[in-house]
Amino acid sequence: MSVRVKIDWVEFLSGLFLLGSAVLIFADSLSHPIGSLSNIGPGAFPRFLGLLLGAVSIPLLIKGLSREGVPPVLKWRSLFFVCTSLLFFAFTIAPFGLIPAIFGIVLIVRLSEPGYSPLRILALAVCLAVLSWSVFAKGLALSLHAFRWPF
Amino acid sequence: MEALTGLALGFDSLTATTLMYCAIGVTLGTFIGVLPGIGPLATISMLLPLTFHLDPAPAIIMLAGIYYGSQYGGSTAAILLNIPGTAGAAVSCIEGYPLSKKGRAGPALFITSIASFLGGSFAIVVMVFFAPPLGRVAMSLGSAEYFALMMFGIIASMALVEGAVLKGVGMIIIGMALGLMGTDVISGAQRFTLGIPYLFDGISLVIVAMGLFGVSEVVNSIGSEAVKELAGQKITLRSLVPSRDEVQRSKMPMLRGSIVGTIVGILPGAGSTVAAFMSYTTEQRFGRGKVRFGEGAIEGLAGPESANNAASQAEFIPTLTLGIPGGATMALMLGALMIHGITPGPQLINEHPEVFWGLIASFWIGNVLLLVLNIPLVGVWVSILKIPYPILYPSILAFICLGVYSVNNSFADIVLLVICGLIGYAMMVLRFNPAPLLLGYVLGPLMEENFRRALLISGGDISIFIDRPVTAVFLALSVGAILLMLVRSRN
Repeated sequence: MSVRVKIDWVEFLSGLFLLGSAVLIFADSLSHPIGSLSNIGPGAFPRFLGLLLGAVSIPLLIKGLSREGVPPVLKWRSLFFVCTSLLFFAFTIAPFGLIPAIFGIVLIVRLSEPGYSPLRILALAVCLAVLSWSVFAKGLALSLHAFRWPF
Repeated sequence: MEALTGLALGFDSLTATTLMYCAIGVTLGTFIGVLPGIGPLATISMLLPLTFHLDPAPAIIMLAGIYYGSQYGGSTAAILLNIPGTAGAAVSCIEGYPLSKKGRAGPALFITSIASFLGGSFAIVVMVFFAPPLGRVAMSLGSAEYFALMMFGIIASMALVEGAVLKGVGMIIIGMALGLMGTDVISGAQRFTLGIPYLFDGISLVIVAMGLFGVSEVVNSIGSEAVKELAGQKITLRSLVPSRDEVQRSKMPMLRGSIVGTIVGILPGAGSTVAAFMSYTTEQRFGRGKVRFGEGAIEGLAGPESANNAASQAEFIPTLTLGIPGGATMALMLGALMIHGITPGPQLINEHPEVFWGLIASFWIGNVLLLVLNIPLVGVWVSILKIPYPILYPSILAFICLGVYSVNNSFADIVLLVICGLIGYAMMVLRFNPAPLLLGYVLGPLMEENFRRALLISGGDISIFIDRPVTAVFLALSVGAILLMLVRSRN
């Protein structure tokens, strides 16, 4: 029989996240001088923050290893489609213009959740495109193109 | 008299455009307040980029309107569905939902609107008379005093942060480090930039806030069901009228709630949620033996509703006069002003009286508008609860993208937004509350700068932090807050 390991993943990973951040903060601060009391350098405060954060992470790590907890649940599907839709926007807005970029967001993010009528999705995309065009391009007078073709 | 001339100046400075933005702000605030799942912090983050394109006064007036407007809307879902629309309305569920089940949803909604209005107005009056003298006192404060004040603010908010204390402290520290990112103002060193020129100016507040509160919230909310069933009653105008007894029983709780809320709002760290809870416990104490709480006692609804509105208005007092935000929302307000090169603090009233007094004047107008929006139009808001989420989330994402993109026309900003969103979602899954991070982001650099400057001035003499009354008092209070924190983290 194997020994059951007790891990509260939420607390343990939280501790790990803080510890990782602490290491990054501390590592960066090493490239800057601490200075003296009468002229404190740019490295002093970050170094203090890194140490403090490291200290804060330890009780969380201990807590995570000393009890059992429900493992965290990630919504992979929506995470993937939301990020994809944002990146799609990032890479289409300049070369192709605002309207294709907005359509992209709506169509891609709707893939994260099945069972919604395509017609309503299309209607939503049209409404949003018109609305954002009138608010951002007309209302706020930003230099945005509705459509563009880079080739 | 200074207060009254100031107020007159404020009303004079309001143009039709400013009033329009005030109306947009409070309407939007009520809207997102009514909708559970999307709060004022997310909305203000989303609208922050728009303020780049507006004048400072209308920009801050609109953002402020969202905040106090959401306090009005938050109670609607709490009363009808037992789901708080905003965090500050959580207390309103306790008595509001039972009232609604008893068929008194209409009067409950009416009383909360009135209570909200009175609470807000009370805090505004305090602000009108209290802010200018406080600002004058603050003029004489030096770097050491500012450091002590901010330290107290940040430690108090650590002690009062919702949820786990250690995680809250962690969030504040990470926020501080993010705030330091970029070129150091004193030495010119490049910190946390990894040598990437894109990061030399630091990471923008807009992107951090939208990633943490907008994107991660959307990811988390996709797939959640829209509200299907309301409490099963039509809210007509006639059904709103409270009985004479209900009015009578609400009067004193409203007054007590306003006072509690205003005091709590001025204190750093404690926002409208804490204010509402404190008011509820106050009412329990006063009503002991006379009122049956938990079964739809109007006292337990009127008090907290006054308190959370009073607090959300009073929070502006330290933010505007000292430049020290008490919570994440106020940190965003501060950020919005700083985007326009206005540093909130004692100089604000003198250098930008039109912004300061204009904002206060807009509070009055906004609260009157909210009363109109929430009483005759309450039916509209109730029907908003039925908006399907599949429509809402793509719209929010599109708005976030355009907002971020509109600031610099830079696709790299959107990529950074995705990264912040991923981190924000990870933090959400790990049950971090990201709100303190924003506070750290704004206060971190200010604290460091004041600390270093104080020691530059004193020539390295640490006693500058102890031998002045103001610093000594606040450092002592900070120690007290740390003790409170230790007690809390042991439980």
